[in-house]
Amino acid sequence: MLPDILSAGFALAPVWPAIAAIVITALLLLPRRPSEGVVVGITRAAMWLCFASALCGLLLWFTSGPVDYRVGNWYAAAEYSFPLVLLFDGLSAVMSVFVALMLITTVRFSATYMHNEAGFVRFFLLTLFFAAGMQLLVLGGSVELLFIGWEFVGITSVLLVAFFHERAGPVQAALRVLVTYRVCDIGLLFGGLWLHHWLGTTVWVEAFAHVGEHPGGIAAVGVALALVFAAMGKSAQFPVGGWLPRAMEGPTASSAVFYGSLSVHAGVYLLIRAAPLIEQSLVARLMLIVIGLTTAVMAALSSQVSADAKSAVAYATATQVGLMFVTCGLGFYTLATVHLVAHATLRYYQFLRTPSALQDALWQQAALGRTESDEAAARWEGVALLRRRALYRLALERFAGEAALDRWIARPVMGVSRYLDGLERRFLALHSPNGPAAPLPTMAPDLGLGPEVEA
Amino acid sequence: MSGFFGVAIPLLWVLPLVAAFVVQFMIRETRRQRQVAIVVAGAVFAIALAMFAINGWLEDFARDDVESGAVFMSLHFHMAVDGLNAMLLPMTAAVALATLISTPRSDLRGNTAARILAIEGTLLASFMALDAALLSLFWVASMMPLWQDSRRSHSRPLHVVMTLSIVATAGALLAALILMAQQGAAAGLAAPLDLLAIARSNVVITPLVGWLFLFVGLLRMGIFPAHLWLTASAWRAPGYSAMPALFTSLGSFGLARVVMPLFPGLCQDVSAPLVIIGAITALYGALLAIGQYDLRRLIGYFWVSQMGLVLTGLATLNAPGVAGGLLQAMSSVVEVSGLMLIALEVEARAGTTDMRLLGGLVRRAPRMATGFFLLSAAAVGFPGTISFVAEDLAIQGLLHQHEVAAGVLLVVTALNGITLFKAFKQTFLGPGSQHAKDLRSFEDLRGWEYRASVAMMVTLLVGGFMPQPLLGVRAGVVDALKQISHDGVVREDMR
Repeated sequence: MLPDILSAGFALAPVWPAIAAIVITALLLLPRRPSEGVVVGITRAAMWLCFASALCGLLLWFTSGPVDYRVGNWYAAAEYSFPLVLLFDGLSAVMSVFVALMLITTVRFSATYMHNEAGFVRFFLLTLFFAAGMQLLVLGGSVELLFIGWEFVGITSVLLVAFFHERAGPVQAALRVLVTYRVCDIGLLFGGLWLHHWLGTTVWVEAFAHVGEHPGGIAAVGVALALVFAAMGKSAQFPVGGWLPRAMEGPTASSAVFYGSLSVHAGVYLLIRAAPLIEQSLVARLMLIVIGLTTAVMAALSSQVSADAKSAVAYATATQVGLMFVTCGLGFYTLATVHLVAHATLRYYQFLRTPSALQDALWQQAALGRTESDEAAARWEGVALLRRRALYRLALERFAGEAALDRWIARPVMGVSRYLDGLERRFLALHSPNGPAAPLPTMAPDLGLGPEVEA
Repeated sequence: MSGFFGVAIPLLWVLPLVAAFVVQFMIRETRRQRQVAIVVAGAVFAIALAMFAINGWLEDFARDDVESGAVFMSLHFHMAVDGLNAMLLPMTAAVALATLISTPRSDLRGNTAARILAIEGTLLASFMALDAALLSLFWVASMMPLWQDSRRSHSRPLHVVMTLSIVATAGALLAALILMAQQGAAAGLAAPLDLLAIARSNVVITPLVGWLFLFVGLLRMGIFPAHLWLTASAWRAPGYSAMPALFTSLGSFGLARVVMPLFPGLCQDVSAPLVIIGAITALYGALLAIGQYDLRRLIGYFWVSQMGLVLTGLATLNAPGVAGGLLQAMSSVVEVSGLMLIALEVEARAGTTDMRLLGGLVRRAPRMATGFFLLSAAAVGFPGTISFVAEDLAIQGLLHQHEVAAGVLLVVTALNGITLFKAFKQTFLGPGSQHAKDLRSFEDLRGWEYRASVAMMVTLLVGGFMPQPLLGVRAGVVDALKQISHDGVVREDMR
């Protein structure tokens, strides 16, 4: 009896924020906009209920161990069905409680921080969708459900980066975040589909049970690499991590909870969740180590030369996440989980403090006689001059990763697009009496003024 | 068959056509034209919705035939509502109604209303027709208002491609009808062009007829390389009257109604090539859309890309693929029409859809921006929308035999997501161009425009969260069509 109640309670963790978001959306459709107090009240209630649900999960895990909770099928069409299955184990229980706690704190902080901001309601609405997505991501018992949570986290992230949409910078940064997410999400989709093709299921528990019986060869490598690619995008790893410092254009509270705490660690969570699959491929594990180490070194250097506090903290985050990739690659998943929770908490606090960075530096200066920047400068001076200059330049240029992606991927794609478009336009213009070079004239709607006007 | 359907089926297509005639020739005052058109379109929508609801409730989408006793030459008035068209009827009526409501009063002066009603009537008749001649007649007729617009446009390139596409469609359909009539008559069929009679008999029609219908279907969908007429019209034709004719699932419907049940052997033969053509179209459309500067042209290529996905799903000939293809064909109409309506509303207010001249419109039109964003998310298959279910099913269907095509479609969905967000950003976000800044009188969606957008979104979201009833409506169709791949024989009926 008790496990049933706890299971149902735990399964509601993603539902509360979603209901609250729907309620606020419905209130927005009314002629009178809801007040800040109403919005914060609804959000706060949803987050506490979400926390209570997460505690049910923790209790369930202590009393009954891991549970594979099936709600039924979302839809089914002949030979295919989409199962609604949640997985309650130690990892998801801990992560669910952690996510709920972080979001309660964020709501508390933002209620004051965002007061009288033009997009106040929008911010809380997006935070609620993010909470629902994040809970679904950590509780999803199949790749598909995790993907749904993953997408919600991604789209809310993009919209919060573009929160101050009247300026060009945040909007451009949001586009870059979206492009990286969309491209890397192919990895998760591809991994899920290939997993279904390989083991006949995408439910984590079933896949883990069958993975030993079906040595996959190429399939095992393909699935593992696809999942690693997806994790790289979400966790801002080299060479697709250029979006992270740009994402700092959003409000501080969202930067803290997304890029210091939860969203940026979603990739690491995916690696830990899919550990039995990733362990099937030595190539994927080696790739994790190489990517993690490369990112850690590059991001550490870029962090040191960053001119603003939020970018410096963002690069420092990428460094630590890179180290988590390395620990996952080495197979130390428990260490990676502990690292994830500890690091996410610390960074969250650091991001929230960044608006006071100057004041903190002055205090440090007064108390210790030096600041962290002084220490960093001293470390740089320890490097030989020529090497220092070259390294500094590279770190400042973010090791040209973004420029290379722009040059070798983005520009060719746009080039092909415009070339084909030009061909089509010229082909169409061949019929034009003015010759192929003449642009297609705009057609005015047929106004047919009617006999009374013509007369 | 209940008496309601006996009246409703003819009413559904006759009413808009008569109203189109009345609006065009008998009413001079523009305000009255608009009122009559909207009332008739509303009534047609209500009838279509009632048919959908009652049919689903009573008959579980068994066919309701209405046969006319009068036969003119070989034109046999055989129309029906079944699982294949049950959803298309209210949806087409809803799109026509939304278009009429959203058309600015100034644009309705040129009897645009009459054209929209004519397109609605011919499309509804095409969807219900179970007679090949009737289907062909209304198929061609549904393209005529667009051709008429292109003729009056003084744009020779557009007129040429529109003329070519209509001549090709009419020519292919005529040739197919002649061949069918010859072979049906030789086999002693009373109604040689009746699709149901042919399916129930053992008459073997030459595959050439199947090829001709296949060509016409692909042309109507805008499959590469037969897409030029569609993208050019989406870009340059008068938008409000062109939209319902361009963004319709008539092409894919033609494949599912005629080619797949009557020519199973042909379908098996062309399955793999069609999957490849579909994947190429999806990728080509996505690639061209991403580089566009003009919102309307972008939406045209996005439609092409979506139709590639639909074709790929249908061509798999397995249950998830066909179910996904049919669902995507339906949801694309709502999503792309919604996006196009917003593009046209922007054009009506800003005088352009060139995104380089726009930007920052969210400050003046938050509802419009929200609508565009949500429709874009739905169009690229965001979880919780119908397209997510449709794309998931289509790709699952592809995985059985066409893994590479499945991979291509994943890339296409990523590209399309980037394209539409980029369009959203360039049109609605940022500081905006000088032209956009000068648009001080730019107004948000008002009254019925707003309600139409909300209705579209609610349809997509409710359908996405609870897709099972929608899939259930089509389950019979999918079961019938997937027989093709298993035994290669013609089903006894075409439900």
